[in-house]
Amino acid sequence: MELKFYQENNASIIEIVGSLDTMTAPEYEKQMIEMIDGGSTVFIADCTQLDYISSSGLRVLLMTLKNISNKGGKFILFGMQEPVFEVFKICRFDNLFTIVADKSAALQSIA
Amino acid sequence: MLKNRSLRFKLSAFILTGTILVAAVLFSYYYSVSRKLILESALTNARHLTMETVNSVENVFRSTAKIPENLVYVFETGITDEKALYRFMETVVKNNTELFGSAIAFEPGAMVPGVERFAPYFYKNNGQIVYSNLSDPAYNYHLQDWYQIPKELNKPIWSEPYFDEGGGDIIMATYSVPFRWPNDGVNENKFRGIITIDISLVWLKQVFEELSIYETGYGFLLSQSGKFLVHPDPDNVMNASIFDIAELQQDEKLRELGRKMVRGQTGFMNIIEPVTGQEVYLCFAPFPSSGYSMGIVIPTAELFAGLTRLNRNVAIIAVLGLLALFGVISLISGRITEPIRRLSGATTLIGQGDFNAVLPKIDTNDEIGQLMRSFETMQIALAEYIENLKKTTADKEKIEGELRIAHDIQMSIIPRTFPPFPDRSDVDIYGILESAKAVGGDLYDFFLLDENRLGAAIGDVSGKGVPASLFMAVTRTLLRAKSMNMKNASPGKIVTSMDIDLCTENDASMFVTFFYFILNLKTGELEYCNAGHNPPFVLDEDGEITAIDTVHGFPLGVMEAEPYETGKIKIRPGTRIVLYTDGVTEAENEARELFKEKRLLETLKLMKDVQDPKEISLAVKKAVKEFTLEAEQSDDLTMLVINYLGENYTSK
Repeated sequence: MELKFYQENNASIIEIVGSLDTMTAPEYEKQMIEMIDGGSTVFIADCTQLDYISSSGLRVLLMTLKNISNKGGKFILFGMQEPVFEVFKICRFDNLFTIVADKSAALQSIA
Repeated sequence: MLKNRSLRFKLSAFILTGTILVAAVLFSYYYSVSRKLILESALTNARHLTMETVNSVENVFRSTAKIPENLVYVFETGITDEKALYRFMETVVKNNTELFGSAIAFEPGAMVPGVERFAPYFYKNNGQIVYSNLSDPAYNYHLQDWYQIPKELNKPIWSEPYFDEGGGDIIMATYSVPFRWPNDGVNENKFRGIITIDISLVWLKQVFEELSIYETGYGFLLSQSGKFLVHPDPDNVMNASIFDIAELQQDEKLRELGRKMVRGQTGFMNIIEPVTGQEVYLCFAPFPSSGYSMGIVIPTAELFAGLTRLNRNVAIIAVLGLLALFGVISLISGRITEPIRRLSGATTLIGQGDFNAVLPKIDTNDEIGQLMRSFETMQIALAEYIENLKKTTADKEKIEGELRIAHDIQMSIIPRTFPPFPDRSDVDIYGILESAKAVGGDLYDFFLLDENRLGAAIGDVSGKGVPASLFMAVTRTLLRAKSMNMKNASPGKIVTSMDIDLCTENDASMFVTFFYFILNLKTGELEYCNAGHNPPFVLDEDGEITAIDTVHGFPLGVMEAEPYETGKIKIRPGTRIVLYTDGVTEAENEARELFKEKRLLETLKLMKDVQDPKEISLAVKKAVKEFTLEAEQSDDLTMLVINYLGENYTSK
């Protein structure tokens, strides 16, 4: 897994590349906590290159969501591939997260 | 080639090679210059010797040539009668020891008018002076070479040497001088005849024998035609010419030498001696009066014998010197590399695990001293590192031991005795739980709520390892507690109640996907609640497969939301319910492909007539293992299969 961060329209955009699973979730968790503790509150996760997500991955995403929500921020996911979206659907996470089609939709929803 | 040799060997080899090269260059230079000097000096000496010989021999020839002049003088003194002439000639032959004989051959009528041939000849025979007249008409001396050639050339000549057979078999030569008379200014220059003297050339042999030329060097003498007059090999003398030998040996160089000598040239040549086959230097020069030519032969080997001896001594000294040098280098390089060898021994010990091996003490501050200190530092660091590693390994082993115990505990809290209800004929159950790590986050459970109702659940905690296993234990404990306390509550109620407890103080955001159902074994009514879990499959008694795909909400622990609802279906005897976690459908092979529901369904289709839950479970597990092969198990693999038979079910 690889994480890339950049700023756009006051949002911190995170590109998640590869698998988000037991092996890689701790790294994601660590970096996200650093960002949140650094004061960022609006996050957009670019999932277009996220190939696989396990329950560990779901847990760290959920943790991010809870953390950001507690601070009154926003966490939006976009560009999710079908297999990953299936996993979200099974555990109903599609109802929990704000998931949009693409980046422009994501940026709109925070505007 | 040198790669496997010791430093000591290489050092010695390089220095010795260098020394040998320098010595070889010096020696070659010295040798070639010496050789040149020796050759120059030898050739100069040879030339001097040749010239001395030529001069001394020439003196004899010249003095001999005076004799005929004296004879001519006879006519000037007025001897006209034959008797006086005979007496005079006899006296001359007698008094000149070197003279073998002498003749005066006249032109017709020059001495005695009217006499065609007049040629008195006096010669020595056994110490007596013998008179002979050459006027035999058959001999006709006027036509002989010794008479005609000097007459025509009008100058004295030496004949080719010859063996005088009657005169004692000795080499002789004849000197013929034309004379004119009277010399009174009126009839001047009238040719009157030839005066000859015969002289022995034996003394020449002695002259050459006395020449001292190195060990086997020698001198030789050639006649005008190249015939050997003097030669160390007596067979050659008067028998062979230099050209004969050149012809025999096919030696062009020898032939060239012969030509040069016969032409009366002076010089040096470097040839192969025909008899010995050795290389020789040759100095040659002519005798101007007779046209003979002498040569001095110097064998090259003898010429350079001194130099060769010197070379041998130098070579012996060089070898001894190099041996001594080798010894010294060996000693020095041994001294230099000795600490390295000791260090090597010590490091071998370290390599074998003896970290307290004593490194050799080096006080110097050169490269070897520095190396030694580096090794000391390394030894200490290595010892510390190994000590740490031992401790870490011990700690790890302890943790692993504890994890094994945790695993056993975890396994003990889920039912693992199959068949679970051996005395019941209406239901059979089989479960598999294989953790990817020592402890895992998957769980299943089942229990009888009362005589006719079976509660069964499967769950998957997010993540793996110890945190997940603790969460799993909590989930299972809650399930049992809630089910026993609220025996008549619907699955939705039980799940909602569990969720509230699990959401409380859940800082780690752990959650568990959970499927719980209650099956009435009498009626086949099945109530269920799915909290974000993979939809279970139902194989009905006809082999039809359907998914129970209603999901009632988030996994447990995510957030407190609306209460979970309860779904209801009714199943007939012969129906099998297959519960599983994503450890089955998301099992990964080495190509990172997932097993997927598709493969699970294919496997289940093969099992449509199989009632035994164990057989179905193991078939799925086998399919997964055949799919993943060598790939490391990525997630916990959990299945729970319930075979509902109801009352009086009979297999088709």
